[in-house]
Amino acid sequence: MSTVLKVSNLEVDFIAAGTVINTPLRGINLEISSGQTLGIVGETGCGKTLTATSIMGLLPSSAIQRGSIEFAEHGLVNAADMADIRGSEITMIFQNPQSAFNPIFTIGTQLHMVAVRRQIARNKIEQLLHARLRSVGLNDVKRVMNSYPHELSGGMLQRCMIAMALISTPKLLIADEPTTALDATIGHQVLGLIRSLQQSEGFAMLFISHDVSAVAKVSDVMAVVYAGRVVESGPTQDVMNNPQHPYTKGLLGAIPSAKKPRGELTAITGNVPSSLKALTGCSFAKRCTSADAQCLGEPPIIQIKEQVIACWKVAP
Amino acid sequence: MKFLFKDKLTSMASTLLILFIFLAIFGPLVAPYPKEGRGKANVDNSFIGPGWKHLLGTDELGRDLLSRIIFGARPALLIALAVVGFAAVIGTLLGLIAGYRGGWIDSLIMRVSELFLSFPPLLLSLVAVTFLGPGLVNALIALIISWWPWYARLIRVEASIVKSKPYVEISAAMGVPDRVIILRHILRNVTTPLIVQIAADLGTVILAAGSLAFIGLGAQPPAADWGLMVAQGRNLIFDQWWISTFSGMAIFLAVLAFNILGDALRDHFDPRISRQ
Amino acid sequence: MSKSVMQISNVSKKFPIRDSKNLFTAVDEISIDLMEGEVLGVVGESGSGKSTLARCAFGITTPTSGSITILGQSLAGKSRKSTRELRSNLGFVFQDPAGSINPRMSVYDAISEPLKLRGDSTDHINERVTFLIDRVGLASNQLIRKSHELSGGQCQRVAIARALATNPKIVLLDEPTSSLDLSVQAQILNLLEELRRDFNLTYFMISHNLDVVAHLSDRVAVMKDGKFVEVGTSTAVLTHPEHPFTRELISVYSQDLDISPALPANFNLDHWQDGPLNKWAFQNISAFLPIEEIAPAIKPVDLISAPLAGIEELSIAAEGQEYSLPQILAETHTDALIVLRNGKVAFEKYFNGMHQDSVHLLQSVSKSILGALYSNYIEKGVIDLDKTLGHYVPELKSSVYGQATISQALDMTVALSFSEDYTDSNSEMARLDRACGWRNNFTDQDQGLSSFLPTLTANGSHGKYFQYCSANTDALAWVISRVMGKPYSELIEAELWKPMGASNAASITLDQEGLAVGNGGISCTAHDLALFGQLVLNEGSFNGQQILPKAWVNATMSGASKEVAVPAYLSSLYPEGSYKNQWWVTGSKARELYAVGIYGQYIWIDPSTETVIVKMSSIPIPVDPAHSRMHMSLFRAISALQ
Repeated sequence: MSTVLKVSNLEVDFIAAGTVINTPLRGINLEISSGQTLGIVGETGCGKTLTATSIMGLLPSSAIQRGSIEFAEHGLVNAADMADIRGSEITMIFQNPQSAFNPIFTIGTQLHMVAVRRQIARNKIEQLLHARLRSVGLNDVKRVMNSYPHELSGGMLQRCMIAMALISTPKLLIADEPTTALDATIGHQVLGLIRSLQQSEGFAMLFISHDVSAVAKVSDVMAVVYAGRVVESGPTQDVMNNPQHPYTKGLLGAIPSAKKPRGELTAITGNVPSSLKALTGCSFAKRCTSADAQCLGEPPIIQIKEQVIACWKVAP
Repeated sequence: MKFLFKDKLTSMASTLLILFIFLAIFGPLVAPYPKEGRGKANVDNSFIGPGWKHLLGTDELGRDLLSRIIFGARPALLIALAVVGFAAVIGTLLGLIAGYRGGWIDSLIMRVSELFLSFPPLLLSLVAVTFLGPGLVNALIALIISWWPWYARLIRVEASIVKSKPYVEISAAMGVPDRVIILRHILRNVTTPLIVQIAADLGTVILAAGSLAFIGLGAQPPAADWGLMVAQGRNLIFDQWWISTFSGMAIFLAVLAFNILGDALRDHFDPRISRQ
Repeated sequence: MSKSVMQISNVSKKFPIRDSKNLFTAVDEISIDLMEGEVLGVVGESGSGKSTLARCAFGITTPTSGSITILGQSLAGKSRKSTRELRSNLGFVFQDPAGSINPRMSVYDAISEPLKLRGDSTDHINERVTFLIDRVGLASNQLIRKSHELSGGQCQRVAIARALATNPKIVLLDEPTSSLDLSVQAQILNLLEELRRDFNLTYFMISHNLDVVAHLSDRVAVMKDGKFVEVGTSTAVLTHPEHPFTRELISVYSQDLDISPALPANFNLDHWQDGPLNKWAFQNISAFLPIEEIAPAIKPVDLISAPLAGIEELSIAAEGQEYSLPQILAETHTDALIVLRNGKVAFEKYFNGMHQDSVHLLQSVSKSILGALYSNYIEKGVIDLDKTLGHYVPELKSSVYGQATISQALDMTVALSFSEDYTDSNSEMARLDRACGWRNNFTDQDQGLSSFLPTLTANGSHGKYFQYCSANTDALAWVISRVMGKPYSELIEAELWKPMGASNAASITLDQEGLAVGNGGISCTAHDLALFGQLVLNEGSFNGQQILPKAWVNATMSGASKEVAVPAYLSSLYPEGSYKNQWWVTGSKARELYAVGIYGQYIWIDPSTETVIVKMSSIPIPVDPAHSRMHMSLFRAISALQ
C-alpha cells in the first residue's frame, strides 16, 4: 500500500496589512494510503475545510502556508504544482451539488466538458460517461444526460457530482460534507455508493464532515481536529470505541442517542477560541476537565498502538 | 461616522458635502456679493471673465457668478431634501403595507406605482406644469410623484423578505398586532437599504431639478438656481463659457459627492449585513 | 392520568400549485393528541410536511380543513388579538438561531416582547427577564447585546428564554439544534430537558435527525408525504418499526454502512439468468444492464385486501404427490405470489428478500405486455395487422420479417430458422441474448438488435404453425417504436402503465444502441403486474375507461384458429391450448389466459372465477416440464377455491 497523500506540519496564517491576524491551521499532520479513507471530523471553525483548500493549493493571496505536502509519485508539491494535479489526480466533491453545476448547461454537456479537458479520446467519451453514470447508480443515462441541474433531485445531483469527479480516475477524492445537505436516507445511500466505488476502483479518499457518525461509517482512519490541530487520530474503530483525547471523548459523548439518559449528554463548556493567533500550549486546556498547569506547554504526541494523541494527560 | 473618511475619495466627497451644507445654511453670509447673489443686477459688470475681482466671473446681468452659485446651494439642498423626504415617506408607507400584507393590497399598490413609473420624470413634469403652471413648487410636486414608486418597490421587497424571517413569524404567533410588527420589526430592518437609497437619490434629485430648471419648468428667474443658470448661459458657451461651466460644475460636484456618500454608506452597512 | 393539552383532528393543509388547478397536499388528514408533559418527536424527510403541520397546530397558519384544540379552546375564526391569552400558553423555538431574533433588538427587548404584549409592568418584566436569562445559562451582560454579537448556541438560548417568558404549557421546537455544532447541540438538548422537568412543559419537537428524536422523545410520529405512517412510543418505533419507511429511516442510523456491492463477487454476465445468481440478479437488473424507466401513475390505484380463506391450507396434487402451499412455493423457487379475486388482494406473500415495492424481471411475460400495448394501436389503425414488419421498418425488409405480417408475428406463426434452445450457446436465442447485452459478446457480430434481427431468415410458409420465437417480439417492439417515433418505454408508460394506475416505476432493459428488449426485459413490482392482469380480466376497462379494446381481449381469450398447428409441449399441458396476440390460451371451458416467462414468471387469468394470479420466481433452470405442470396445478387449485 503506497502513500497517496502525506501532509506534514501544515500551518496557515492569514495576513492583513502586513501582520498576522489569525492562524487557523497550526500544524496538521495527515497520511492516506491508496484505497484508504481518512475521515476528518471537527466542529465549525476547526480548520477542516481549510485543510482541504490548502492541500489543493487554493489558498487566497492573503494566506501564508507552511509545512509540506507530498502527493503520490510527485513527492513534494507546492501550490503551483497542484494547479496541474487538481481536477485530474485529485478531485473534490462538495456539500451543495447545485453549486457544482452550471445551471444553464445540461449535465451531459458539463460532463462532456470535463472529459474533453481531461483529453479523453472524443470517440470514447460518450461510452465512458454512460458507464460512469451507471457506476454511480444512475441507470436512466439518457434522461440524466439531457437534464438540467434544477430538474434533478439533490441525491441524483450528488451522484452526478461524484461521477464528474471520477471521470479522470483520480488517485485521491476529497469529499467535503457531501451528505450534509441531503436527507438522511439519501445521504446514507450516497455514503454507501462512495464506499463501494472506492472499493471497486481503489482511489484514496479524504472525507471531511462535522457529522461524527457519517465519518465513522466511511473512514478507515479518523482524525479529530480542534483549533487547527489534529488532537487525535487512528483507526476508526479504535478512536470511536476507545477515545483518548478529552475533546474526542466530549464529542462522542455529545452524540444524542436513545441509550444516553436525557439531560446528560456530554456538554463541553466554553467556546472554541476565537483567535488562534498567539495560542501557546494546549488549545483545549481552557475547556478541559482534566487540565492543569502542565497543559500550558505544547502537548506531546503520544502513541497508543495505532492511535496518535496530542495530550499531556494520556498515559502511553 | 469614521467610515465617512475611510479613504481619499470618500473623504473628498464628505468634505464637499459638509461644504455644501455649510453654504446652504450660511451662504448669504459668506458670499462676496450677497445682493447680486440674491438677484440684483449690475449690468455694467456683465460678462467679466474669471479674475481677482470676480473669481468665477459675472453673468449676463453683471452678477458675481460665485455669489450666485453660493446662493444656489440652499434651494438645491432644500429641493433635494423635500423631494426625497416626501417620496421616501409616502413610498415607505405604501411599500410596508404592500410587502407585509401581500394579496390584493400589494397588487393594487404595485399597479399604481407601475403607472407612475411608466412616465419619465421629465414627461410627468411637463404634464404637471400643463395643469399647474411652471414654478418651483410645481416642479417639486412633479418630482415627488415621479420618485415615490421607487421607494415603494424597494421597501416592498425588503419588507417581504423580513416578513418571512422567524422572528416575525414568532411575533405574529404570539399575537402581536400587525401595526406593531410593521413598526417594531419590519421598519427597523428595512432602514439600511432605505438610507443608502436616500443618500444616492439626493444627488439624483439635484440633477433632475436642475434638468427641469434647464428647460424652464423649475425655478424661474431671478432665482439663483444652478440649473437655471446653466440654461441662461447655454447660448454663450463659446464666448462667456464660465457661466454654464461653473454652474454645471456645481451640480456635478454635488451629485458626485452624494453618489460617493451613497456608496460609502452601502459599504458600511453591507459587511455587517453579510456577517449576519 | 395524563390529559391531552392539544387535539389535532383530521387536519389537512393544501397549497395552490402555480400554473395549475391542482392543490398540493402538504398535510393529509392528520389526527393526534398531545399529552401533558410528553415530548412528541415528529420525524420525516424534507418536504414531508412536518413544519406545515406544526404551524397549523400552533396557530401560525390556518389549516385547510380539520380542527385544532389547545387546552380545550380553538383558535379557529378568532382574531389574533382575542386569542392572545390562549397563545401565551405556547412557546416557539425555530431552527435559525440568528433569524429568530430581530437584529435591531437587544436580547432584553427580544425576551421581553411577549411580556410587553401581555401588559406586564416594567418591574415585573425586569424580574422575569433576569430570571429567564439565568435559567438558560446566559450572563446578564448579554442582555444589551444584539444577535450578531452572539454565537449560534447563545442565540438559541435567547430564543428559548423568550419562548418561556409567559410560562407556556406547550413549546414548539422546530429543528431546534439542526444549525448547531455537535457540542453546542448537546448543551441545548440538556437545557431543554432540564427546563421541561422544572416547568412541566410539553414539547412538540420536529427533527430530521433521528438521533435527536430518539434521545429526547417519549413518543415518535413518522411523517411521509403529509401522513403519519407510524406513531408509537419511542422505544417501540425504534426497536420494532413496522412501516417500511420507518425501517429504512432507522437502518440509516445503525452503525454499519450497508454497502450493497455493485455486483456480487461471483457475478458473470453469461450466467446471471441461471441459479443461484438469478436469485439476486432478477431483482437487481439495473445494476448491470442499461434501463429506461416506465413511470407510474400520478394517482395510483390502491388494491384493497380481502383475504380468501383456505389458501394457506391448500393441498395441491402434482407430479404424483400432495404439496402444501408453502412446499410448492418453495419447490418452485417463488419470489412473490399475489392472488386477486374480484379485483381485491386475496393472498400476498414475498420471499427471497422481496417486498411490495421490489421490482422483479418478468422475462417473457414482457411479451404479453407488448401484446396488450399493440391492441390499442391496431384498434386506432396505426398498425395494420396484415402489413409486414418490413413495411414499417425498412431495415427488416430483406429478412424473414420482410414477408411475415404483424398478425403472424403477434401470434408467433412466423416460420423462421430460430432455435429457442436456452442452453445452447450457439443457438439464435443465445445470439439474441448477446445482441441484447444479456450475454457477453466477444464477437463483432450481433452488436445490437438492429444488427441481429435483419439476419434472420424464413424456413417455410408463415401462418401455418405456432413457433415460439423471442425475436418476433423484439421486432414488434422495434416496429411500434419506429412508427410512433418514441422509445418503447414511453409507449408502455403512456398507453398502459399510467392509465392503469400503477404504483411503482417499472423499467425495461436496452441493448447497447438503446433499443428496448421487448422479448423479456421488463421489470416491475408484483402488485403492478397483478393490476395489469386485472385490467385484462376486466376486458380492458379500468375506472370506467377502456384502456384496452374489449374486442381484443375477447379475441385473445378465444385463442388461435384451429388450423394453426401446435407443438407437443403445449398440447400435452393444454389439449385445446394455443397462442394468440402474445398470450398463451389454455382453450379450456374456463377460458384461462396466461403469460409465462422462463425461470418461473407467470400471470394467470381465470375469467370463470374472476381470479388473477401473479408469480415471480427464480427457478435455477429456464424451462422444466415438471415445474410447468406444478404451476398449472397450483394456479388451478387456487382459482377453484371459493
